[in-house]
Amino acid sequence: MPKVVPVKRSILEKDQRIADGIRKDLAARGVVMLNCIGSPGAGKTTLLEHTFSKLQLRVGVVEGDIATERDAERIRRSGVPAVQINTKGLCHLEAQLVQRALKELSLDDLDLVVVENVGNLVCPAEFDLGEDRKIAISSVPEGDDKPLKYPHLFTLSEVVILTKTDLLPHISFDKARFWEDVKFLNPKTLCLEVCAPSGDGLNAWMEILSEWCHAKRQKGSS
Amino acid sequence: MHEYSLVSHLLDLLQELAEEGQWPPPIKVHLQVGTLRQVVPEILTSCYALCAEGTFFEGSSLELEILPAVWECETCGHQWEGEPGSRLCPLCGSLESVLSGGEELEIVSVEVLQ
Repeated sequence: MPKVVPVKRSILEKDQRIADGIRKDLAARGVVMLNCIGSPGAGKTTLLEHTFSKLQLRVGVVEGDIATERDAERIRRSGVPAVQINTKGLCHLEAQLVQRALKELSLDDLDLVVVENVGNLVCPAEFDLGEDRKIAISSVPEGDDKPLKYPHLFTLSEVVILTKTDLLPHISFDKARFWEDVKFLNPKTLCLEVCAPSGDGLNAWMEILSEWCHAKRQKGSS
Repeated sequence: MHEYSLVSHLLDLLQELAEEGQWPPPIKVHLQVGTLRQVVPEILTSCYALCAEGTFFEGSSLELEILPAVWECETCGHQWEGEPGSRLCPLCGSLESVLSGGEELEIVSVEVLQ
């Protein structure tokens, strides 16, 4: 007769401990960390480049891609330090990888760390990186049905940014339906529309970032 | 897509527990997976069999129990099962609800040879 050994342990407990450690460390330093998730080509890096060119905050970036250093190079060209993680096939970032990358940033000199996850709407939503907030980035050409098709990401994200809004006149995209679905999945989500190259909508996004960083720094010093 | 990653975490933890508890050879691993974990059961179990090859867990099988998403209303305390986005409380109509289940990834028990 086989014997049953009770276990009751989470398989992600080690990863969760690392994520909790990152969160605690960043809280002590008063640094905000965001986990940006979206499809390949949604405009994540472009949004960051244009945001950083005007943002009055000290920012560091962790770039997650399967291959190449390209995104980190783009970010560095906008004057922001960036660490590239190449996952070599892994479709998402995990806390352990982010922990290693954060060691290459001077965290004490930063207000904000932005992690750009591997382009994917499914797996990145599953892994806690120790971030303060998840940000979902969805672009007009991807279509208005993405929230309901990938509900987990949109349920967990505190901000949804719709990018490439300059393409709205040229593409069949029901904006009202898109936002209705986003709100259905998470009524508390902040909804933003941007066209990064023209700067449309970027001010609202930058104001939110500044508010978060200000609030966290105050909390850290109190 | 992330099943391989989950299986490597699972096998690492099992290996640790087996050494600590000096387990006899295992036959079955009972795992609870919340439906929101977006796991494909067939991929997870076949990936487990493949990754367990050549380890102490070779030949054991993964038994999955899929748990539903459970929402809890922050206004009236009512709990209900539903899909993602079912956060509208069927009792009081509030949208102020939080997930209290559906994200599990837990090894419940392991069956070993006596």
